[in-house]
Amino acid sequence: MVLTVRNVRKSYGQLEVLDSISFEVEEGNFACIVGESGCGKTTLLKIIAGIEKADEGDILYNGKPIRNEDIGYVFQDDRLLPWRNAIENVSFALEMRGIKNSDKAERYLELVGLKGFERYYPHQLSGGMRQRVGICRALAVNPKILLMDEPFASLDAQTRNRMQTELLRIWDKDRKTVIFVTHSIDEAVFLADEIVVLSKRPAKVIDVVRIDMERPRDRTDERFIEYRRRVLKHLSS
Amino acid sequence: MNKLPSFFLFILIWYLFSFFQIIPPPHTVAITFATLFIHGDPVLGRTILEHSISSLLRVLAGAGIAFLISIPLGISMWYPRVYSLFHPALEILRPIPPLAWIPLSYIFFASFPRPTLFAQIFIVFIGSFFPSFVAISDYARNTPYEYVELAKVFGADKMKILRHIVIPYSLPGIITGVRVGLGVGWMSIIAAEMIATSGLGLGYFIMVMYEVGGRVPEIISGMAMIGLIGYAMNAILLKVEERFPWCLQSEM
Ligand SMILES: Nc1ncnc2c1ncn2[C@@H]1O[C@H](COP(=O)(O)OP(=O)(O)OP(=O)(O)O)[C@@H](O)[C@H]1O
Ligand SMILES: [Mg+2]
Repeated sequence: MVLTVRNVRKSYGQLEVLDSISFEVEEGNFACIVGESGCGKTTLLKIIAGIEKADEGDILYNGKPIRNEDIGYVFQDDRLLPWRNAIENVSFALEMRGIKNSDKAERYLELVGLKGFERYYPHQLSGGMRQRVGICRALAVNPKILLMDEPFASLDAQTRNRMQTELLRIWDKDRKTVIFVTHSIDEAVFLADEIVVLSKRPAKVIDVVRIDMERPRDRTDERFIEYRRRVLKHLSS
Repeated sequence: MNKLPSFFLFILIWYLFSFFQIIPPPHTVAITFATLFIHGDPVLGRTILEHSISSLLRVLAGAGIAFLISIPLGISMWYPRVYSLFHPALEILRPIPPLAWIPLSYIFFASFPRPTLFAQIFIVFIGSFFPSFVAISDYARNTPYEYVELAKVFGADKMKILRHIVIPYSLPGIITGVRVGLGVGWMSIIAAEMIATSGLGLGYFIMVMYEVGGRVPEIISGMAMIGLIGYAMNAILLKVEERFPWCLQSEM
């Protein structure tokens, strides 16, 4: 089982954003996509999700075009519906996919540590809590592939580190294929099995870095720092 | 907000005017108002409450029909195709004030069993339809694309997007539309009642009081009743509107 991104090209009018992107992610792997701001990471993720059309190229899952129900998506902003409370925001995804809710929404909220906040509306939750509801919503539909667009970008460093650890804990339960966009190299090295490094716009894949370190990873470990250096070199060149 | 000072200021100015004999003082009107409330008016023998209810029922009928059309039509303006089909035509009809429809509607409904009643309900319909339609379609058309995208990423089709994104997002617009529509409908019924004999109704009452020799306290009582009812309808729906957190954000 493998997710294949093959020769994906995308322009917005005159603006060339993606220049023939190709890479593969093995089933159960945690892939990070890094690249500087504005290089086209969100565009790429939306193309993979099928909510944006590529000008050229294919997204394949096991050699077949990817289907909507294979995917769970976490947006760069939390994108909760203000007229639904936390649990209703989670069940929104289930309703759209026509999946029976039973107690799924509730269970996933508990999993991300939001027990007791089910009836809170988005404006009554903190930024970190809202992000967790967004993650919950994507997990609840039990996708084969989880696409995450800088879900922790708006959080403070401490919360961010805690959320990374929590995400790995949840991921470890059923090892879904994850594509996680970030522009933090530290975050990528901490989370990923492999890091897809994108160039400046128009984005190309510069390198795919495999991180061969057991989890939980120690950020002060020499190998960790070495990986960071390697990715950083690509980005600053 | 404390509304008392504003109220006292109003009464004070009123007394000032009555001092110069322009209008009767508030207490005279208050006594007339109470009499009208309990014993009814001297000409038609109906209480002011009966007149109010009669007008209100006509407004509810006309506005109710207007909302039955303006809500679904306003929501469906989310579809660009529907919008381009309806919008230009509606924009030409919209500036025509409800009052301008009065002659035509009296002619049009002349053959109906109760022509005045139908004509008045129609005028209220015109008055209520456009403001509510505009408020609702504004919301529907401005449904943030982010929410639509969210629904799409979880596999929603157009129908589900309409039902789970566009309609709930437009709910504050629907409440605003109902509020403003009722307000305009309320003004329209009074005007319509003044023009044709309807037997009952606040506008008709005021007109009759004028025609029997300028009974000013009665006229002002009728006006006060119009104001109070209009205020109450608006205030109740404003309270409902306040419950939507996202309409406050979008207006900032
Ligand atoms: N709908 C659109 N129409 C026109 N241009 C767009 C559109 N969406 C994105 N772009 C352009 O495409 C480029 C890439 O945008 P994208 O959002 O994919 O960047 P990003 O890598 O996710 O950036 P960031 O790290 O800041 O989120 C930007 O220059 C942006 O202006
Ligand atoms: Mg982005």
